[in-house]
Amino acid sequence: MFCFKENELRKNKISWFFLEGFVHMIDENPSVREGYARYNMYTKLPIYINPNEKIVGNMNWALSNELIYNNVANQEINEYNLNLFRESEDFTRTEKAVVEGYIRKIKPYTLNDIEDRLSPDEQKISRSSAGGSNHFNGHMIVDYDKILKIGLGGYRELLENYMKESETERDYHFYNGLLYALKGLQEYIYKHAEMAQYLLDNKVEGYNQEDLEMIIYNCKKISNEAPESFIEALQLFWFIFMAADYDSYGRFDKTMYSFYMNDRKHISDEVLESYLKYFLNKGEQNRGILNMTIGGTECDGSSSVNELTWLILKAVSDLGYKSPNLCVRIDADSDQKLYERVHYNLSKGQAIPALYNDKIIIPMLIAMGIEKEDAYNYSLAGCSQVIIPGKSNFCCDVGVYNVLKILELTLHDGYDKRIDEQVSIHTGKIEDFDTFDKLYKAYDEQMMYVIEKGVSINNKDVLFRKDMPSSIRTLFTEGCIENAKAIFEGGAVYNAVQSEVIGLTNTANALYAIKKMVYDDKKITLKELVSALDCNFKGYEELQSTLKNKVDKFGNDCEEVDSIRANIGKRFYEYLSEFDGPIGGKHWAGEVIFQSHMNLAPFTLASADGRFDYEPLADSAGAAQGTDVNGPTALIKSVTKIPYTYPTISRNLNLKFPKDLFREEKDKIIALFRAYFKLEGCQLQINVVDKEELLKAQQNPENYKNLVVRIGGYNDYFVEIPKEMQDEVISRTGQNI
Amino acid sequence: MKGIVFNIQKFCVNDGPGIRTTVFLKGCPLRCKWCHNPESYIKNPQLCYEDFKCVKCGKCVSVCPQKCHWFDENGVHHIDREKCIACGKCVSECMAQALKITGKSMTAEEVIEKVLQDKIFYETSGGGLTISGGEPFFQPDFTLELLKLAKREKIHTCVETSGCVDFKNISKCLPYIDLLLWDIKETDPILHKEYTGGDFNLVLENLKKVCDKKIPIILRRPIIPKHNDRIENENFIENLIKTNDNIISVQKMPYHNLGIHKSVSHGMKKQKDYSI
Repeated sequence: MFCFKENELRKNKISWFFLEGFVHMIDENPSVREGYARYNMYTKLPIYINPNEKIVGNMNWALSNELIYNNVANQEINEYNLNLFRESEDFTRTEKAVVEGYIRKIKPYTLNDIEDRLSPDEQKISRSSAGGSNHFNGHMIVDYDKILKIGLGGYRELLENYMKESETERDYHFYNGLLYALKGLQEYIYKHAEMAQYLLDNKVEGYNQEDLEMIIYNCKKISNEAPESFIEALQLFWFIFMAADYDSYGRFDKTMYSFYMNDRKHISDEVLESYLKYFLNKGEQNRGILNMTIGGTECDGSSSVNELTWLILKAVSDLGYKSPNLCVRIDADSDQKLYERVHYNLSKGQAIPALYNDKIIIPMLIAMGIEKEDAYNYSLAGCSQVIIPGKSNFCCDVGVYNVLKILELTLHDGYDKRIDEQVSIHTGKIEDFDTFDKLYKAYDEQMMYVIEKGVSINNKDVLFRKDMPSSIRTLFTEGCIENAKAIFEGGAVYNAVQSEVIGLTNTANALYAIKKMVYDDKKITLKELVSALDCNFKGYEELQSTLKNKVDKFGNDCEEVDSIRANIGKRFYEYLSEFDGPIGGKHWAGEVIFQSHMNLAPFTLASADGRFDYEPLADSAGAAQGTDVNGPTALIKSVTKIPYTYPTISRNLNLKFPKDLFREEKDKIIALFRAYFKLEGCQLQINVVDKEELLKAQQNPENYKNLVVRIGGYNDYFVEIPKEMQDEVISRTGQNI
Repeated sequence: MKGIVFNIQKFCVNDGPGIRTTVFLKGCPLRCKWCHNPESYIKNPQLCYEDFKCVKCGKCVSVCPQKCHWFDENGVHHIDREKCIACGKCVSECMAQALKITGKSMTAEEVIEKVLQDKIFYETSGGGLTISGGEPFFQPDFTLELLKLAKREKIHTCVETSGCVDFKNISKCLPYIDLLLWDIKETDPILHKEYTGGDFNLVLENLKKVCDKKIPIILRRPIIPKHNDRIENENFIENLIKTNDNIISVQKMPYHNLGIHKSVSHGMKKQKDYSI
């Protein structure tokens, strides 16, 4: 039951025990099936405690929901992991045969065959990449406030009461399934106390007696009771965080504040700071995106910044990890002291925190139908998706739209040249587009068609998950227990389907280039232009150069192209949000692009902005790579012309500054941030590096292991990202003067 | 009114307080040997040609009405600068971006429209407009017009000058200037003449007159190794600060050798590298 080598944990990479439990209950109600699978996994997983740990729980990703649904459900990752598993020497042949058997049995219950469930028309749009699903489970923040308040025992009581009073058999099973998962989790936590006791009793070398005693006390207590001290709260938080996906800590400074302040009465600041650092270290060891939101404004207008906010900023900077993906809620009028601390952290080259504009996001959420109090409590998850902690299932990142592909289809009457197939509707031959307006109208029709298909693909994708109760998320999200509905049945208070929209910048640049070259200046016919695109500019090198270098691009405060960007964005968001989600709420757009601008590149042929076949698309809401040549103020002006009153889940802007300028011009940089927020910018993320430094890092990765860069809402070690993505980060213009 | 502008640069953080937009006007009375912007010597637009970008396609040869471009038997691209009228026909044909025109005739309103785009950044940072060059007072009426328009929009104004111009050209602009950046390149009149071609006594005389008008001044001192980095210059400037209340500070400007490349691309004699 206990394990003494960390690599023994890896045996559980494919959730062996989860599969075993799932198969055991395969004919039962979905909630029971999954709840029991979790129970089986939690109770059988080996326990490992590192020497010198004060906060325990090292499940790597064995417990993660991500794993269960993405690795069992996502075909691509699944195949990859299966192959790893098949080649692994950690398993005997018999073990492998057993697991293969499980996987065969579980397959019909996963998203594996989702493509087959789509209609032929939907499949075509999905194949073209214009609209489709990421098959992603979405980002979530569970109700940490309530968990810390009532403890796991409190939840158990709640569940048992609901079970007793359940009116239908289905509801009874629903609660029973959740209870299985909860009991498993409780037992799992308790086993850490037993493991520590074992280490203590046997005086195992390398372990500190005091630490072990504390672990025993904490784990025993929080396996059922509500935590009281800061360290107990951190320990429980950590277990729940792992079980709930390693996704986001929510508004950590707010959630943990009372525990921290209570302890300050009798524990020194140094000790409390060290506890916080142990906690952050757990996150770093276990990897993942690990969003943490701090700061912000309260409903009554007062500042949410507290003592813990400052401590977190300090600890994150001291540690210098890539995690957590720290997000500071701020606005144009926030305290200068906060801006200065943020500047200090960023100037160390850590690329965190990112900044989020309360004055834009909160009113937008209210306009989207979210209660004022909840809107003020928003937090970030995933890359930078806006979430209502403990109350929402926005199915973030479930959908993905490639707007540049839509323009490509428009120029080919719905035909996708890459796969030689008529994938979309007929909207006219290029000969018919004798005015720009006619072309634009055709684009609009294609866009509407793609959205309609995309919506139905994503609806199917989301609905399919109703039999995947995601017990932990369901258990700890307000509304689910009360409504006897799992998270993907629409149990949460707020629901939506959020999709990433990629390529708006390239599309605006391309549309503007077509307007200017073909219709305004009449330098070339549309037919010639499309011929050039069709052969990837081979033999049209001059045209490519003109399109790329001599036509205005979005990101330079040039009115005409910026307004096309604003209009096509607004139109897209508006039309998408006309559609209802399958489990309540609406379809929402976002421009928080982590790597889709790279992933979609292989599907997207040459475009009229001078982009070649398969080149990356512009990331997030910024300019296309290397096209913002008028410095950060012009880029900010362009980006903030995109209206923000339409439902979008965050819209990101990356700014990159050379280190020396960023450090030496603190006041001016802060003034730049304030102006961005005053102009109603939504989100800002900063890389403080210089191009030469990045090139050096590419050449001598061993010397730059700590160099962290931001990639669309997410940050990673530069030397650990693939070469193409490194090149992409380099080519994003450094706002260097 | 029109002036010749060779660059409008946003997010300037070194040309006065806050975030600024610097408008570079073409034309200068001085010929500083180390000039960072030699493309600003003459007032009229000029053809800029960067050899390393040229792909030798020959398009420029065929479109040039003056027949300035030609390639020799070794494929080297030559430009007859005497004949060039900077019409820009070759520029629009050049796909390699090797050719461009430095200097554009713009109205004051057009310039201010660009400057106003960043107004919000001036507000949050305490920045504004800086007119630099070349020598702004070499196009005194245009500079005056720009300053008036900027003040009408309540934008902080700053002018960077060599001070080596007729005082009446400075004088008429003063009511619209919030801060002067005044270059002191060398304090020995003989060396000043040698290095810059200008009369240091005129610079000093003008500076004293401006000081009487109580306009805040920041002195700017380019540091050219082994030329003007002598202690005498330092002492002279320190004394200037002591004796004039409205000289706020002195800003040392380190030498960089980007001027060399620009001198060549604008068909001038290759500038000496003072960093060696």
